[in-house]
Amino acid sequence: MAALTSITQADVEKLCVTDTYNSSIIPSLEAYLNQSVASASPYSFQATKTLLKFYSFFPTVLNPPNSLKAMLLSLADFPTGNFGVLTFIVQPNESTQLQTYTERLNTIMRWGELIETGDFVTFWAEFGEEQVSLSLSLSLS
Amino acid sequence: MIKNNILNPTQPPPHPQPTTQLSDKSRGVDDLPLTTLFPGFASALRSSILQTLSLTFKKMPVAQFNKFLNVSGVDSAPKSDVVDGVEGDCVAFRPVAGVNDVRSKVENVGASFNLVSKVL
Repeated sequence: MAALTSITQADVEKLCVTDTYNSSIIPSLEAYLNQSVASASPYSFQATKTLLKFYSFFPTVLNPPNSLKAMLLSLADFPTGNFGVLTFIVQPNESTQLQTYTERLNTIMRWGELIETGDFVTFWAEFGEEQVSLSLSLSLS
Repeated sequence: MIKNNILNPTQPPPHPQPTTQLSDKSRGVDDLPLTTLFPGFASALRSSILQTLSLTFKKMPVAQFNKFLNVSGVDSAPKSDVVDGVEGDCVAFRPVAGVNDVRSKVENVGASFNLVSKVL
């Protein structure tokens, strides 16, 4: 397996094929996801889908920030239908223990709906509100 | 006695062990708002929208273009090689290689055209 710090798209997509059901590849998939978020690697739908599938199969290893990052990455890959596919794998969890995660996931789902229906004006307005609330929370903390 | 795994003698991979407690706080969500999880999200999305617009249209009113990208002017759009320049009140997109007329472009992007046409 390639080093986690420099895993390539080819490496990670090969893992998705050869170790489709081997959960030991989760750290590699997470490393690649974070590389993609940092714009250090191209987006890989296959790697993203496989990681979310593992989170779905094994809820105990669910990493909410990574799950949210994966959804945002696929949403930014507009206008492919990848985001729509992932919404069938990642379902909002009604568990009170993951309330914040569920709320944020619902926000992303809502953004996806707005973008995919071409309601960009509303989307940017809601996105702007999210940024304002972020700066408010940072100033209060 | 029939042995376990007689149909599949290879040892299955062990299930992953949880490394965190089942709560938002311990999993870092509370401390990471959406906009900080993926700081480049808006920029990446704008680039994707720009690519879609360039595949779908030859020209587009600047005001409409700015609405799609949520920018104040063409100059503030992300750097891209798909915009040819501004002609009058319209943004002109570069022709897509091998695709000459708007209709062909529309067919190439299919759903994207349906999506964009709802707004225009």
